[in-house]
Amino acid sequence: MRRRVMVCACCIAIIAGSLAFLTSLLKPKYMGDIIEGALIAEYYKETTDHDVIFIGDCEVYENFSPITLWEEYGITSYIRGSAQQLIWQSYYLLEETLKYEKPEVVVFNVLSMKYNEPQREAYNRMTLDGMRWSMSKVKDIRASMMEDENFIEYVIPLLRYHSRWNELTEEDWKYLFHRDKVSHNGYYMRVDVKPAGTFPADKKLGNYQFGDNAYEYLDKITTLCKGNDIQLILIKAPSVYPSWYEQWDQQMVEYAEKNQIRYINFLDLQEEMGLDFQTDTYDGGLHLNLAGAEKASKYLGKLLKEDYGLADHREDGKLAEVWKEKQDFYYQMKADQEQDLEQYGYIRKFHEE
Amino acid sequence: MRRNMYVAVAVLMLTLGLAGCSGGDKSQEAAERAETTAAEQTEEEKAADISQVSETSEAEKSEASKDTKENNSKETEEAEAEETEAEVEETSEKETTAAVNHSGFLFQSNGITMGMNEDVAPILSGLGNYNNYAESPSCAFKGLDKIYSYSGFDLYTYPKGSVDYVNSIYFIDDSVSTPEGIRLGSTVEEMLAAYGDDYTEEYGVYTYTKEKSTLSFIVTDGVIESIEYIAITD
Repeated sequence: MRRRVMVCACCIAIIAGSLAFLTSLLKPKYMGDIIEGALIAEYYKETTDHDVIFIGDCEVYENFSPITLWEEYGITSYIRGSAQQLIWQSYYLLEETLKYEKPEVVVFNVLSMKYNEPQREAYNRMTLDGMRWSMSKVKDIRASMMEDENFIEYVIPLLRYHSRWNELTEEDWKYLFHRDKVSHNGYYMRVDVKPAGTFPADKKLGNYQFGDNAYEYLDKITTLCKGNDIQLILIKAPSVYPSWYEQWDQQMVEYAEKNQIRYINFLDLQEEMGLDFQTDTYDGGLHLNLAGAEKASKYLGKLLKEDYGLADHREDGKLAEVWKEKQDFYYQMKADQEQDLEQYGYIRKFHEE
Repeated sequence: MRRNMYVAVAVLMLTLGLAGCSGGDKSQEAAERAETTAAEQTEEEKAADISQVSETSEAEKSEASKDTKENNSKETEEAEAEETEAEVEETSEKETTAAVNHSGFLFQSNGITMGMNEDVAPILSGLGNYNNYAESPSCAFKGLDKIYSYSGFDLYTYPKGSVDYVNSIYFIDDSVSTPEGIRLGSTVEEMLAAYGDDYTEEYGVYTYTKEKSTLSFIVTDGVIESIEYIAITD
């Protein structure tokens, strides 16, 4: 009997191990040219708290540099951003973050207010697969799933990714059991330059009112922050495109006034920030490059310092040591990217053959 | 004990079988590429056939030139008739091919007919130089959706595999119209006369659906202020 139990346990262990191995092998790694799927999981490696947490889509994780906030003002921050992060995903990520720490300020980019329903599984996966399992993640998945998605496929990723067996690359084997660090406290670095061009005419909409679902989660974010004595700042990050309609801006102005929170439209401040979309963007004006992100961060950091009285932690020995390591990694990546540009004319990691 | 081992092996085999099963997006993409390649090959074969017919006609012509004048004249006429027939056949086959490819709401510009979800390459080739090119904003999949601006309209594309397809066409001024004659500034009555009343309407947006496409009109105070063709994609 005992022997039978042992054999059974061994069989189960072998099966479980095999399934775990296959899952690890077949799941996308996001270590190649699309690293955005690796951003969310990196947060859990943090060893110290942050005074500022950013939540939102690529307009936060590509436009603000936590390293610059640290260097210029001693402000500690982390960007819990992800590709096309939807507002309910922002809420659940914030809810989850508050289980680990309590920041002084939360900065939320409001572009995602334009999405009232789930949009695309690929983006869902980039946000959700990296989250640790918790009730926040469960609720996030349920709120995000497209019609043809199944919850069980998030629980057992092998059910979703089994068909990748014939797409496996060297990257899948190399990153079987570990991941490289790809961001700087959530910031996605690009040093290349592609000047802004001309964009097509704004499309007229039949209805400019943000949806009820979007407002419901904006209310939840507001309530969560107020309930935790956290200052919430709504922002519209700087960019040339896509369109941020006047009617959308007005809704955010009114919402902020009604709820006594701050709303900053950086589109109106681009000149004041010193942004030049001939040099400060890497994709023709859609997102800032490193030069632009550092300018935007200096501007925001000054505001955070003066208006929110955030502490300057640069004299804190333990924090300084942690952030020195982050700075080294930051400048090493900057140097590597600049070298690629000089040698190849593009950054190899992000260049499609 | 043996039974337990068999069960364990069966579960493992099932797992490997799941992992090894074909299908999924990539395989579907490969199948579609194969279909596209097969279609292209079929067209090439047709072109080769037509070319062969023309060459045969040419050979017959040169043979006829060696005979008497009357015979020459007669054979030349016959050869010319065959050539004309080949040309008509070629045009007919092109038209048939074109008709098969178009579906849903169609838009025409510069002699080019285009529908939603169509391969954009021949359309771009036919339209000639565009006024402006931009890449649609995307958080992770950068540079995949493209926007081509022409006189009167913007053409949006989406990728599927290595091919770009028409995603939408948006009118930017009243210099262009739909084939049914509706343009920016047309009245809602004119729209209804052209397209009927089988539409959905919300917030002044009238949407007609036809196969894998929609045609939307935004109407304000009875006047059309926006016209857009949109692809219905999987």
